[in-house]
Amino acid sequence: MPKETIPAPLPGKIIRVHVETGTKVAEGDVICEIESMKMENPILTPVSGVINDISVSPDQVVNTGQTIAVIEY
Amino acid sequence: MFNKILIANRGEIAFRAVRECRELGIRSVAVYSDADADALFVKHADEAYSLGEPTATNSYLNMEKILDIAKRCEADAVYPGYGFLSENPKFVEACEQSGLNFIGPPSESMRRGKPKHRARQLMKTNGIPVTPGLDGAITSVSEMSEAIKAVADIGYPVIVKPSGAGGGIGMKAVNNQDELVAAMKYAESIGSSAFGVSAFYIEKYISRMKHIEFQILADKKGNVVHLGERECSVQRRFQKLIEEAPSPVMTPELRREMGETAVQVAKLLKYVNALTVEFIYSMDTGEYFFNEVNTRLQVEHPLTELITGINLVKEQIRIATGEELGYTQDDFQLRGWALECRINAEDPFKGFIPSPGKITAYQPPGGFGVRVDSGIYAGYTVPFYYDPLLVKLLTWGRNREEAIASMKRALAEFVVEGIKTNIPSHIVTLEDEVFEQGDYTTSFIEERGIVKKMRG
Repeated sequence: MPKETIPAPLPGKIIRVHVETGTKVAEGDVICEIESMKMENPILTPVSGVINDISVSPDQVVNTGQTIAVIEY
Repeated sequence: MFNKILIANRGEIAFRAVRECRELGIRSVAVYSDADADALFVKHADEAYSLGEPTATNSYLNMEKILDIAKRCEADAVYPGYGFLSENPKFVEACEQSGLNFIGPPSESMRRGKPKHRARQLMKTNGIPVTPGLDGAITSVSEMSEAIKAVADIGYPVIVKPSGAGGGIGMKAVNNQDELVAAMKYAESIGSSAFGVSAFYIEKYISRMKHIEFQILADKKGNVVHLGERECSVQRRFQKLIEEAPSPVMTPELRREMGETAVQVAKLLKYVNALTVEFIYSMDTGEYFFNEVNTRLQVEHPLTELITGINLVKEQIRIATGEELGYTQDDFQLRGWALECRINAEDPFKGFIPSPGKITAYQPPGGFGVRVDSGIYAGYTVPFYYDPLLVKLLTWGRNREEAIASMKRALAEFVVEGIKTNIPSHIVTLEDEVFEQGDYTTSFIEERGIVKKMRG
C-alpha cells in the first residue's frame, strides 16, 4: 500500500492530536491542530486511509516540513 | 517625571515606548521572552531582563516575574502597551501595591468598562445611545416567550449573542420569529457547552454598519478631551486590517455630537489616561450607538497622532505623573487625512495562514507623509508565539486622495522577504471603488470579494 507523509505546513506548537496509529481517516479529517501566532490551524489529511505513524504529541514544537503523520492508503 | 519605566510588552509598541522614554530622558527597561532576545525593543532599551520561556502565560502575562523585575531594577512606573496585561485590573492593583505607577487608568475604571453588557447598562441608564435591545441577559428557556414579545417591539432583524462568548462565536442574525427561536436555542446550547454560560442577549442587528471610535485623553484633575475619530471598518474575521482618520462619513456636527458623547462615557467611567470609545454607525439611518470601551492605547492610535500632532504615548506618561492636560477641546483642529495598513505575517494566498520565520530581506518604504512603526529587521526571526502584527504602515496627506495615493506608493515599495505578508490584500483593497468612495461597511472584505480578486 502506498504511503503519504504529512508535513507541518507552518511552525508552531501542537495543541491537540486527534488520531493514533491504526486510526482510519477520511480525506479532510483533522489529524491535529497547530497553534501559531495565536491562531489554531487544523491539519487535514489529504487522502483517506489508515494512520501508519503519528510523529507528534501535544505541547511539542514543530518546524515547517517536519513530519506530522504517515498515512497508508 | 519618572526616572525609569519598565515596558511590559513586546514588538513594535515596546520599541515605541523605548523611543519615547529616550526623548523624555527616562531610563527604559525591556522585559523579554527567550523568543524575543534579538528583538529591536530589547536592543534599544537602556536595560533588558529575561522573562525566560516564550509562552505568553510564562512571560508577558506573568505578573509575578514582571513585578519582581520592576522591583529589582527600581523602576517607578510600568508601561503596558496594548494586549497582554494592559486591560487586567488585577495587574493594575498589583502595581499599586508594589508602589509602581501603572501608566493607564485606575483599576476601578477598567472594572466599570467590562464586561460589555454591564458597561452597556451603565451607558443606557445615563442616556448614552446603545443599540436597541433587551436590557438584561436571558438565562432560561422560560423567558423566551417574553423575548419574542420584546423583539417584536424592537423589530427584525436582531442578533442573538451568547453572554460568555467572544470573537463572534455563537452569534446569529435573525429575520423572523422562527429563526429567533432556533437562534436562542442555539445560543443557549453553544453557550453552555463552549463557555459554561447558557445566558444570551438580543440586540437590534445593524446590517450596514461602520466601526467608528473616538480617542479620549483624561487627566487626574478630571479634564477630558476627545481627539476626533478613527474608522476601522475594513476587517476580516473581526480583525482590523486598514483604518483611517477622519472617517469618510463624518461631518463637523456629527463629530461634535459623538465626541461629546465619548467624553461623557469617559466621565461615567471616572476615567484617567488614554481611552477609546467604540461606536456602531448605521449607514442606513445615520444613527450611532455605544458599542464598547477599550481601556488602553489602541494599535491604530498613530492615525490620531498624525491628524492632531499629539504624541499619545508621551501624553500617557505625562498624565500618569499627575500633570494636567494643559489644553481644552477648543484647542484641537484636525489636519489632513491618515491611513494605516496593518502588515501581518500571514499568507493571503493560502487562507491567511500564519507565516512566522526568518526575514531574509527588509526594505521599508519612506518619503513624504510615510510613517513606519515596526519591530523587525533583515535577519530577524519572527516568533510563532505571539500575534502576527509586524509593521504598522501609515501615510498622511492633505486629503483622503493624497493619503491613499501615498499608501499605494508605499505598499509598492515595501520589501519583506523570507516570510509572507498580507501586503497583496491591502493593495487590492486600496484599488476597490467602494473603498475609494469611503462608504464601505464592516462586511466590505467579503462583499467585495477582496481575497478572490487578489487571486485573480
